[in-house]
Amino acid sequence: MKLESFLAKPAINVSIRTILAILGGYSLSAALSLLLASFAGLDGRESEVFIRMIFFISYTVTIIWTFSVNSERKIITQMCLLNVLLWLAVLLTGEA
Amino acid sequence: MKGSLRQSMTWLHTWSTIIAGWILFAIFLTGTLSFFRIEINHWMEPELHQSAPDENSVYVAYDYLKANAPQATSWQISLPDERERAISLSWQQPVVVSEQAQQNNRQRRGQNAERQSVVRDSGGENAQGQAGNRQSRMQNGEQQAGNANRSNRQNADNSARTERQNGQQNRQASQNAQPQNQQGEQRGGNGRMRKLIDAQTGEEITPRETAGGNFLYRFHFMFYGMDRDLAYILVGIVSMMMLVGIISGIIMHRKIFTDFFAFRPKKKLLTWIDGHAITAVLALPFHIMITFSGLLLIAGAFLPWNGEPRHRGDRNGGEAPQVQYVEKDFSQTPPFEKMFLYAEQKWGTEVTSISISEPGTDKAEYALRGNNRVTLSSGRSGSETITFDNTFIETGEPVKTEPGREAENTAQAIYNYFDMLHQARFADTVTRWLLFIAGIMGTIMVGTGSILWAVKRSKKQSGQFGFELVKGSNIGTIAGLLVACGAYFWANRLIPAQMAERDHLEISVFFGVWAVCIVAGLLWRNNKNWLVQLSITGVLFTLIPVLDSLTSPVGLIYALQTGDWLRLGFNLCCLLIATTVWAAVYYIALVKPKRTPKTDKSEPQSKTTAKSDNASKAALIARKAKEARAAQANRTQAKQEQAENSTTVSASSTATKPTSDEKLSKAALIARKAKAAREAQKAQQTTQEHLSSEQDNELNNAGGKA
Repeated sequence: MKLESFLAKPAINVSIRTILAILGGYSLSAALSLLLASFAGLDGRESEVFIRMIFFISYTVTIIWTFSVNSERKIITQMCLLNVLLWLAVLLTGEA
Repeated sequence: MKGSLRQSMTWLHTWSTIIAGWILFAIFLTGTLSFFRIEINHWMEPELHQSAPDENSVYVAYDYLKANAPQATSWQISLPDERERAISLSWQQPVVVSEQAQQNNRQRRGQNAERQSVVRDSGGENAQGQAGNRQSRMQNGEQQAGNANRSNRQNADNSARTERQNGQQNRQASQNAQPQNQQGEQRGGNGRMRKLIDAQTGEEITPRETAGGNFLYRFHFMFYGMDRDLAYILVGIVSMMMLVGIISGIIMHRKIFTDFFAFRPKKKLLTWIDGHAITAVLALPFHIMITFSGLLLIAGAFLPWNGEPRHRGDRNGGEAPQVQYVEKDFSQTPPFEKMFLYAEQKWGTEVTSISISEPGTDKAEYALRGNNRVTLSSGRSGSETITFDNTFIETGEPVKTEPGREAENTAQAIYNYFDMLHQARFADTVTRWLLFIAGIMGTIMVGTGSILWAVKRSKKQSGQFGFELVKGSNIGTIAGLLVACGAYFWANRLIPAQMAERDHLEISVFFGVWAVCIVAGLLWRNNKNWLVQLSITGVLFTLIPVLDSLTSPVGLIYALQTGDWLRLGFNLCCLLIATTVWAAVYYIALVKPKRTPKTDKSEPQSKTTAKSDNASKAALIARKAKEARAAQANRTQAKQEQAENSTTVSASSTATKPTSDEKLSKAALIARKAKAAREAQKAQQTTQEHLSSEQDNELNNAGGKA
């Protein structure tokens, strides 16, 4: 309960979401674009430009998503979970 | 965030764009001007204005090259077209040496390479700051070397000196060599020479030293005087904020198409909201495309982990090729006319450039290119090339034809499409103007967004540091940048053409004027300052045609006579900008807030703004209420007519009935009318209340947008 009220403070709320959006979003988008390039079986220059395009689309969507979810606890959990899952998948596919 | 999705997006839209608003404005404005970079370059090099395209331009170029660069291994001729007025030439100027000199040079190079490897090794040791420092000094013979860095620099100096000495020896050793063209403008250390000549007379043109439109072009993605990667990252961050702002703006917009047709002038806040919405929605696909493609183009610095780092080739590096003297025969001029006819018939468009390899020999080849781009998927290499050789006179056929290339894969093709779209490389004049107008809309969108933020908060936050900072910065960055651009063009013509490093001075004028405007904006944060800065912009841009006429070697009449639409277009564009700016000045001067009793002299703006807000709100509510009343009256009238019709029908059907029935129906009609009037009154009250609350919501949302 204390954590909820702490997270709900405007300054904390905005700071956490901004950090999540910038860093978490960057990490998530990087993992997602690497993973998709791997699934698509791309390499070389083709993979590079594909990753660029997917990354920026994904980053934009992630930032918007981060600020659209009402619950702070929910967005922190989801962002961390997705990052872990995607990076695990990236490591397993040997892309990193 | 707390609240609905729309509220969250409103917050995100506001803060993602206001933070980077001024940088975005500068990027958008300079980027938009860059669509006409070549035209700006042409205007800023008035020495080129005299040149007019001619049918014989290729022969003029050929004659110049055979006289000035006969020993060159290749020639490149860029002919005048719709965006070029002079002939641009470049060639590879070799160092012509005898066979003996070449052998000696090869030996010296070998020795030099060994010496350099020793120097490099010692340099590496020096960098570690170890005892290798002394060793390095011994090997290089530099007894007075200081610290490691200085030693490294000296090593580099040694290498350069050795190379220069070798070069001098080579030149001394060269025999039977043609003298190098001393007049040519050598831009690279690899013997690459560039020259501009008049398209009719073949006279050399040496344009003034200017950064021209290239400065504005470079500024929009790498600023000025900043490390390239750092600039890319900064531009990438603000572009990302812009993209988030655009997408969140779409989500938060309640009535995207309805608002597109709404513009309410003289309504202060509503005018800014409408202006922002219209410019955003009208060119929305362009805004998304230009932001996303811009991000893709500078993604290398933003995503350093993606792909191998690519280093741009050092265009000035390397040495001039060394060749033996060859006797060349220029007695027969190649049949360019027939070659051009062949290519132009095949492409349906003009030949714009020609590359000649081994000119003046039997092996000479002539590669023709034109504005015949057949595909965009491969980026810049989507044009066909036709190559002729000396047998063309006999055969009448080209020796080879290289079709325009296609992208190797889909991802690369999509990337290239975005690249070509962003830089408008495919665009003809009309498309270029459309892109320019869309870019101007983007600039207005960003500018009105920043102003809207301040206008909305003027009532509540006036006097607060953050608010005053934004309010003041808006003046300096928006109006100030326009003043700076105008001053940059004026500086180009007023700084003496022969002055050394005048291009740096032009850029200093640009930044100096901009800085003064920003400081003035921060000091005087009122409408008067907007008026002053916009008026200066108006004066600068209005008088640009006069300045052009007075400072160019040829007047505007000559430009009209020779069809120099590059120059005329620039002047017209300046007049267009001036008209827009004067309209803004008129608007600001006209829509003066009504005088109110001043209780606090320091904050006259906030009071007037508040009053204007209330007035506009009341006017809107009154208008909507009037509309509701009219609608209700129409409905009532329709009901009455219906009732009358039914009465008439019943009356006609019962025409023979006694008069008492008529009296009864009249009484019923009156009763119905009275009931309808009561209902209408009640509905009107309800509608008015509803509209009032809805308008309040709208205004709150609009405030939230900002």
